[in-house]
Amino acid sequence: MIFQLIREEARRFPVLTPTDEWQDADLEDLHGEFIADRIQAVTTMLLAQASDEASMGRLLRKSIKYWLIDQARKTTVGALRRILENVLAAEDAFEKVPAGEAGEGRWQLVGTAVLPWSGRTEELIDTARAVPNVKIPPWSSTTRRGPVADRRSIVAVAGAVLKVAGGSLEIAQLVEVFVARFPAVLDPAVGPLPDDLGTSIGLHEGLTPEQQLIAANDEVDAAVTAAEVVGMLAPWEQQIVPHLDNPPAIQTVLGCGRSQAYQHARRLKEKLTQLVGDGDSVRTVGLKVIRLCGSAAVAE
Amino acid sequence: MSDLGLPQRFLDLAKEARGPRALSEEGLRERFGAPTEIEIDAGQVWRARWDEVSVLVLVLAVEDRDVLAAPVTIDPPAEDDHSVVLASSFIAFDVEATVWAGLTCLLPIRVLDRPMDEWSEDLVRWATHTAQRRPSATPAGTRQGHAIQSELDPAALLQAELVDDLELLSQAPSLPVDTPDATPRDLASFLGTNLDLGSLCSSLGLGQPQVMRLLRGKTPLAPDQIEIVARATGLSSREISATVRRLPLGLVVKMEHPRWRHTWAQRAQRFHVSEAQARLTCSYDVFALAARETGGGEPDWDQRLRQFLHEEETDAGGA
Repeated sequence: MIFQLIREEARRFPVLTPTDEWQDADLEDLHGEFIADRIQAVTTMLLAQASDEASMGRLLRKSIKYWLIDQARKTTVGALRRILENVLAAEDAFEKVPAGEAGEGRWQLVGTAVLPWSGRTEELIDTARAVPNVKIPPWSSTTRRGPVADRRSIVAVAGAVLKVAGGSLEIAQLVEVFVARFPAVLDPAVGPLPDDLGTSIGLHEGLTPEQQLIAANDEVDAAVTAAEVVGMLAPWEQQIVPHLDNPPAIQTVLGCGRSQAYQHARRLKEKLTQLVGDGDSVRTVGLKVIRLCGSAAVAE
Repeated sequence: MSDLGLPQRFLDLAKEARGPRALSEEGLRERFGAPTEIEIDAGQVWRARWDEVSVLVLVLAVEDRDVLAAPVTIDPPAEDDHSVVLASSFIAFDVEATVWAGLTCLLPIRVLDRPMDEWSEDLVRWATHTAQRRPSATPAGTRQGHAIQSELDPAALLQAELVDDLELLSQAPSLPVDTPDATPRDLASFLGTNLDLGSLCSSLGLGQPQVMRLLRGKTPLAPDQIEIVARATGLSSREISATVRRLPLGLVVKMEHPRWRHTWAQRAQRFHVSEAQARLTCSYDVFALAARETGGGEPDWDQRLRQFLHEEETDAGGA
């Protein structure tokens, strides 16, 4: 049963899909990793919570879904670490603490010769959030992973964080700050489940993000930005954008519970805030995103 | 290698993962006795279940028909800043568990299914204080949960799912209970001169004695019967359902106790009805049985139910 559920659920995660699509061997590896990682807790949970075979299937599917989300986030964190290291190494503003000095191998601003930092990460996260005009480049929800931010924004955020820290930072500390600053990047695209047992989400099959980009081509810059933002949203997210202030409508669209509808609304607002950014045209872009998603829903 | 091609070490792991013995049927009976003798108490961790929803809850306080309870999760692993994570060595689960004190709510006793563990008074006190937003030191064997930093954190969705599940549990159907201010009219007096007995018998597909019992409110109208009577009489479903005679609180409290859930589940399966319908029908049968007997004071409803079940079994055996 576990293998079958993993086979079904894994196909919903583009970020986990191997380059040459899922093969049996990949799914067996994933199955093995799940067993090694979670079998003790899942077995206990099922013993305590399941009352029959049907409830066992539902509970197990939920465990597998959240474990796969966790795996998807881990791969993204790995990619984020590599991107950060590449940018820091290539930019003149940063350097590694030389061998033999305190904090060897950490990152610092060039010419500062500081001691290793050991403060509260929350302060650094607040600093990262306060950096203005951060731009997240567009990507399509149909691709495997979104970018963190454009190179200039990454440099600006890392520079501000190292300045406020006043000390050198491990790459892992910088990654932690970036993860907290850009949670939308870690948010894995999750596809629909073909014949989900009562938990399927009706997806909008209308315009693809790419078609929306083409349609918006002749519009002003704000409209293009809005189309880019729409392209970064999963189809089910596009569907609920017009209902962000109407959780009961989200309940109807997604077929979920009340609290989940409110959470989906809060989550998507947070994601849109990050994707739209904080530029002068934020309101215009935001409205155009809603309009684009609304017309997509109507077209459906 | 197996048919699936899984390495043997994974299969060995899966085979070893039998779960703690404390959660086996034998282990549960050793700790809590037979399901028919169970008492609900603060500090117990129960499986709360209705239809497709199943949640573990830590009971903080017990009232007549409700418990104050905080949800508990084992997997998927998640937490928030109003939760504590219990170390595996302190509980029967042998794995970590999260107590979500910030999601504490009242749940009807009728959704409690089976006790799974029993935790310390310190933990109950902490959860109660936290639910009331009063500061309290985290108990031994626990650590404070980490805050959910973003709505994009999967824990935020898991938390919302938990709240929805608790809401569904709180809406599990209850037995109609008599209240001092209620002045019910039976269906017969409600219909008055508009009563057409023949038409009702025909619509319901029942004999006159059975319909008379429905008219006097001595047998509960099933949901589909309420609709049929409403159509046949031109009255609303709400008006019809209000004529069903309500059950005494003492009986309702006993029938909704988890010690009888196994009985309702068995009867539901046997008669191809829902658990709620099995409990409703049997409760009225027990009420009718008690009404035929003499003697003052509140009847021993548990005893009446045992008697009813025994007589039913005897009749079935003799038939």
